[in-house]
Amino acid sequence: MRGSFLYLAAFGVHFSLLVAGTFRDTAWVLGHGYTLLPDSLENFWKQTERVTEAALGRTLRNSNPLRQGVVAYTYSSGIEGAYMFFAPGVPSSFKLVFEVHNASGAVEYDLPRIHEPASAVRLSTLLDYVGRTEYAPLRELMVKVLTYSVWQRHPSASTIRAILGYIEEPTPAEARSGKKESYRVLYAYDFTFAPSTDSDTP
Amino acid sequence: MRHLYHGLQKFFFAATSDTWLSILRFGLGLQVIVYCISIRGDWNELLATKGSGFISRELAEAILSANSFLIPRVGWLTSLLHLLGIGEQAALSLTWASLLLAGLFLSAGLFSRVSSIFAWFLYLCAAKSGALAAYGADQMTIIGLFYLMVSPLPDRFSLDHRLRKYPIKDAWLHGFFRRVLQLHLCVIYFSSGVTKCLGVGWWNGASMWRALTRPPFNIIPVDIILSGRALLPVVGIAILVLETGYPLFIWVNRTRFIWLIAILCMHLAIGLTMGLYLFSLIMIVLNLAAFGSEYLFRTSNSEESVSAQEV
Repeated sequence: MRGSFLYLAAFGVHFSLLVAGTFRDTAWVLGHGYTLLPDSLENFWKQTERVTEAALGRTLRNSNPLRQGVVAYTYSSGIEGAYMFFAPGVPSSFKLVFEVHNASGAVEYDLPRIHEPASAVRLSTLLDYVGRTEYAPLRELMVKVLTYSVWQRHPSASTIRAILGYIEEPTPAEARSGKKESYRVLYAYDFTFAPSTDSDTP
Repeated sequence: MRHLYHGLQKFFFAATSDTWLSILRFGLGLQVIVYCISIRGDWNELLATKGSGFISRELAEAILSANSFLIPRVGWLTSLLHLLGIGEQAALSLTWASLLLAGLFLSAGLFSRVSSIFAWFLYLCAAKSGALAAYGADQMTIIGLFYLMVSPLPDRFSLDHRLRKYPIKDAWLHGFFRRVLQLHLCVIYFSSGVTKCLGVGWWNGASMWRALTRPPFNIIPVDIILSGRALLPVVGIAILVLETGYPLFIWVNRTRFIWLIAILCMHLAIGLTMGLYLFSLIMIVLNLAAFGSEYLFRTSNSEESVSAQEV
């Protein structure tokens, strides 16, 4: 078995990165109190997250070639983080509604649009990403980009209000008594796009 | 120390038939084709830059660059094609067509190595530039394509072997790459299972309820789910057992077949009840390639045991 040592060494590096990435994401979930584990352990999990971050080279300067290489490798091989779809729980889904105000004073409502049914899950993922972004300027920028595509469908709009919220699903008991899903508003942004200049384009 | 090294060699380089690779290659080819067809109508809008896109690709690529500027992205392709005088929309369409072609070649096993590299690279570019709208199916497909690209291609069912007479690589090499895929799946299921176990919703059926009623996965009418609500905690706990127990029971000869069938049924059910067809397909392909080839190809079973004895 010629070269078996090299194969094993390569596997060792690859698997270490895989396990470190998995640990980091798991520790992040545990450290943020999303699980049944006691709150007193949160600091421990946050420390674990920091250790795994270091193992993945994430504590090095961004310009460090080792960091750049390791991050690129993990992203390229699909091992940049743990697979945790719907773990530890199923989160609420986010919804974005556009309130299009025309110059005449008329108001229309619109939603982000997709062409393919299979893209519905992608749109849902995107809205979840936007909704969970804690950094307010980035969240606003993403909403603005989404609103811009709506403005292209309504070029005569004077203002578009983007309302981001989440859908509160009824429990089985509530659903039995006839309760439907409700929409809770989290943020609202007003955008004005000028057709003649690029200054307002995202 | 020497004993340990021999043990590792025995575990990692056990001779294996190349049929696992046939499943992986064909399955990933099919996955790429289905992906391309399912996303065609939104492809350009998902990956376009500002002004013409649904969500700006530039935003996703800026976030990507904050992580590493070496991560492949669609921006590289459009910039390259721009030098040849090809506009962005045409470049995106060309990228889509190239990915579809790579998927077709992969499923046929023609120019397997080159096709697998192209498929991996183009899929990675699309998934990372559209990362804001990417989900589990994309990550799993990248994992599969990455392993396929470095695996000892071609396999016996590929046209490369049948028509172009390319030889099949050593059985121990197949054993190694298959083992890596097997271990990776174990990590995926175990981490997913353990994290689910720590959430109260998977024990009392709440997570199952939410998964089935949450848009856009709400395919089954609520009335039907309500009529079977007593089963929700049972199904939730069954998923916990299946995922957390995967790294143990998939290795034990007596339980492997049952565990594999159960996991495949779980993914089939996810596809049918939640509409996650792409995700289900890639998970079924990865599981069959890692642990199912003995059950799918009876002829290779005896060959594998002979090869193993020889080793």
